[in-house]
Amino acid sequence: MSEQIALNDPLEAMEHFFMMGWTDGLPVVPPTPEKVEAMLKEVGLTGSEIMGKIAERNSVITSEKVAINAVMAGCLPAYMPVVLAAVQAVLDPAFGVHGPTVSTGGAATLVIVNGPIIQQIGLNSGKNLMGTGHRANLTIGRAVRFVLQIAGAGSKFDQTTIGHPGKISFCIAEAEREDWEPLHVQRGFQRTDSTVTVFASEGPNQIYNHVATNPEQLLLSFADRMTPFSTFNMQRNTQCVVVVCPEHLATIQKYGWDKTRVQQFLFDHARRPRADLEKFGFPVDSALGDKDWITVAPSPEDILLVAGGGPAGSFSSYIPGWASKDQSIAITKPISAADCGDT
Amino acid sequence: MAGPFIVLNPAQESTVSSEKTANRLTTLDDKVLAVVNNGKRNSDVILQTLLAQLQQSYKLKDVIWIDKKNASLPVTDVMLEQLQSCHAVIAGVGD
Repeated sequence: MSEQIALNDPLEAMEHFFMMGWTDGLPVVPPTPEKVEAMLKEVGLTGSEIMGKIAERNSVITSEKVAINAVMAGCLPAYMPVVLAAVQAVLDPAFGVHGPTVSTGGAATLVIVNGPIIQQIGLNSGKNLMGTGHRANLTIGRAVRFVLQIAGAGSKFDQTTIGHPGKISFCIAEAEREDWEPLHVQRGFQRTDSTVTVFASEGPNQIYNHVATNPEQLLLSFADRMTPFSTFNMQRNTQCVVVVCPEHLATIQKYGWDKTRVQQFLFDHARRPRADLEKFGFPVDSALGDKDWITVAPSPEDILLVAGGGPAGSFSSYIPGWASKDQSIAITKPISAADCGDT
Repeated sequence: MAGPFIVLNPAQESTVSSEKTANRLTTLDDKVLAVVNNGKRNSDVILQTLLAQLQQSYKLKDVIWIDKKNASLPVTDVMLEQLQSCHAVIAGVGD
């Protein structure tokens, strides 16, 4: 059971948490035992279950610490299954959580939610997808960050040089549609499953194209946006995420292109000559071999395609990855909190 | 005024650990020294330089050089086993 701290009132509690560094710089909701208990009750856990470990920090994350940090982030109990699944995903060894949360490279943890849970808890997949105004998105992303930085002691180690605002909170839902295979289905789940996918991400890059009238024109502009030299993606074997807005998706689907074809087209065209890269003095990871062309990702499947964003406007988004697949890969976990954790 | 307002500590709290600091060495003479290269660019250069200086100052019994696959992940269990046979370990970051 976590230490109980006696204070005079909620405002004093918020100031105490600022003083202790238990915040992202914004006020937090004081985690009272009653609120924490409600979080745990929602997922049928006692608080003692071990959700995972961060070996480099000798950190053990319990369900109680997840619940406390979720309360602080402003989550409702109904969000707890998503937070728990996301925490389990980032604590999967293949995610390599220590690196992206402390690296000078300043990655955020992007949380992508799929499945019926989106409607059940009111996650936003539309207008202002990565912006403001949606409690579920903002507080779930913030809770994951809190767990890693406060319960997981990451704030002691974070050496980020620049970073980006997604480090405060970065959670989106996919705008799922019958005529487009959603991310979690492509990664082996059923449409009826709810999942989270976590991805160590650099800052998002908006893709502006109001004029393309066919998929080739449109996706060539995507490819151009995806291939600046100064990213991990162009120097190492790194995954990336592309969020396709509804207007762009309409252009793609008008010509019958499916998701696999879009991924293949981007893989074929989001590349630059190796000689150009070396001309600028950028080192090319030896893992890339002696290929003449440097491609944005090691395979079409490593370009994670997601539909989302508001119905008006032709603005999609390219989200580069952090480091390489040797250090961190996207992890998808089912949202099924009732059977999670080890005691 | 009601009673105190109780909140819970969100951070990792200190736990009793069976781990303890290794005994400090007074000399590296006749000792086995391990060097862990974490794989950052030029970390091998720095560590090789440091090792060469130590070898000038001490008669090391043996040197075990370990290359991590990448800097971001923990050392493997196999590497940890190798380190257990050493008297001292140097680990460095070459950023």
